[in-house]
Amino acid sequence: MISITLLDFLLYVLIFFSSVIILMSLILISLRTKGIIQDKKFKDFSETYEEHLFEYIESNEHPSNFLEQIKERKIPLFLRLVRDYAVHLRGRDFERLSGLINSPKIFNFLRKDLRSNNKKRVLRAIYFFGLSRNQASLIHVKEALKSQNDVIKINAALSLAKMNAGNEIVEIVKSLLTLKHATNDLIISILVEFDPAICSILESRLDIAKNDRVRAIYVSVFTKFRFIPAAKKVLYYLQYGTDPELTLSCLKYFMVIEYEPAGNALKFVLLKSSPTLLAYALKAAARIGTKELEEIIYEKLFVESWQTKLDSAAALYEISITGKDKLNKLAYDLDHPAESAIARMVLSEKEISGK
Amino acid sequence: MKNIVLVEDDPSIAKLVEFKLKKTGYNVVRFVNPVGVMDYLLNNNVDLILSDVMMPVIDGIEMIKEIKKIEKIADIPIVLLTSLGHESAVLSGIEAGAADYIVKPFSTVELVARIRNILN
Repeated sequence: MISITLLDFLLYVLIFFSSVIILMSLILISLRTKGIIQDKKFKDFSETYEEHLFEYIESNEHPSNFLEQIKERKIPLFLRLVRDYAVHLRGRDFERLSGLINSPKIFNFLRKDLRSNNKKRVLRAIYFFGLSRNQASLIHVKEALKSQNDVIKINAALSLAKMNAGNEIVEIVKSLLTLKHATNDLIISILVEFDPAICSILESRLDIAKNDRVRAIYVSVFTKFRFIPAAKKVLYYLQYGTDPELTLSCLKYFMVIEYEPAGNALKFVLLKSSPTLLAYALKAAARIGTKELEEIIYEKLFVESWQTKLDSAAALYEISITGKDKLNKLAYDLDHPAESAIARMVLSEKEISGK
Repeated sequence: MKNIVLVEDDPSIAKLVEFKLKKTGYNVVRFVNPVGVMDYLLNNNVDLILSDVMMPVIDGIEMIKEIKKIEKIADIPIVLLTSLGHESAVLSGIEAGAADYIVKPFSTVELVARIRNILN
C-alpha cells in the first residue's frame, strides 16, 4: 500500500516537472517567435522606408509631410529606424531626424506612451524625448522623475540631462537619491550627460547642497569636466569638510586639475587616519604638494602600513629636492631597515622610469 | 567616376554612407569587414578606402598595415571612421598611414567634404 502511494507521489512529481518544462519551452518558443516576427517586420519596414529617410535627411522637406506616409501603428518601427541613425549622426543630419521626433504626430504619440501604464512604452517616450532634446517635452519627462519605478526614474533623469535641463538639477538629484541602489557613481554618470555648463549651476549650489554626499557628487562632476572655476570653493571643503567621501572627491578633483594652491591644504588630510584618504592625499601630494608638507610626509614613512610607507616615499621624492635628499639618506640608514628598503625601492623605480 | 571602398560592419552606418557617397557621384563597393578587401584592391582601381576602426576578425588598423606593405596599393588614401572615445585608436591608424579620420557621431556633409578634399 505504501509503495503504491510512493509511486503515485513520484508520478505526480514527474508530471509536475514535465509540465513545468513543457510550459517553459512553450514560453521560450513563443518569445523567440515573437522576436523573429518583430525583427522581420522591422527589416521589411526598413527596406521600404530607409531610402526615403535618407532622402528626407538630404532635403528640406517638412517633417510633417514626410510623416504622412507613416501609419500610426507603424510609428514604433519608425522610431526604431530613426534611433538607429540618430545615434550615429550629428549636425544638420541629426537635426533633421530630431525634427521628425518633435513633429506633432510623433510628439503626441510619445506623450500617449508616457501616460501609459506599460513600462516599455513609458521608457520609449522618455528615451526619444531625451534623444530629440525637445524642450517642450521637458515638463512631461520631469513628471516621470516621480515614478515609483527606479528604471523609469533613472531614464527620466538621463533624458533631462541630455536635454540639458539645468533648472531641474535639484529635482533630478533629489529623485536619484531616492533610488533603492543609488550609488554615487550612478548619479555622477547621469549628471555628466549634461553639457559642461552644468558645472556653473552646481558650483552655485555647492554651499546650499542638501548634505556632504550631494557635495561629493557635485565635486565629482567638476572633476569629470575638469571645471577649474570651482577650485576655491572645493578647497574650502578639502580643508574643513568632515565627510570622508567629500574629502576624497576633493582630493581626486585637485589631482585631476593639478591645482597647486591646494598643495598646502593637503596637510589637513595627511593628518587624518583613514587609509584610503591618506593614500589619495599622498598621491595628490606627489603631484601638487609643496615643500611645507615634507615633514608630515617624512613621518608617514615610519607608520606601520607598507602601502603608506611606499606612497609617502613616492610623494617625498616628487615634492622637493630636499625631500629627495632625505629619501637618499634614508636609503642607507641601517637603523631603519624597513624604511631604508622602501626608499631604495622607490629610488630605483624612479631611476628606471627616468624621472 | 572615383571608386571608394567602404569597410563598415554596422549596416545602418554602411547604408547611409553608401547612399550619401553615391548621391555625391562616387562609386562605392561595400565590405562588412576587411576580409576580401585586399583581393579587391589588388584587382580593381580604387581611389580611396573609408573604413571603420573597430571590427571583428581584423580591425581597421591591421588592415592599413597590410595595405601599406604592398607597393601596388600602398598609396591608396585611407580615411578612418571611429567612435567617440576611441580616438586613441586613431593615433595608431595615423601612425600606420591613414590620411584622415572622422569621429562618430558624424555629419554626412563633413564626411563628403573630407573625402572630396583628399580625392582632389
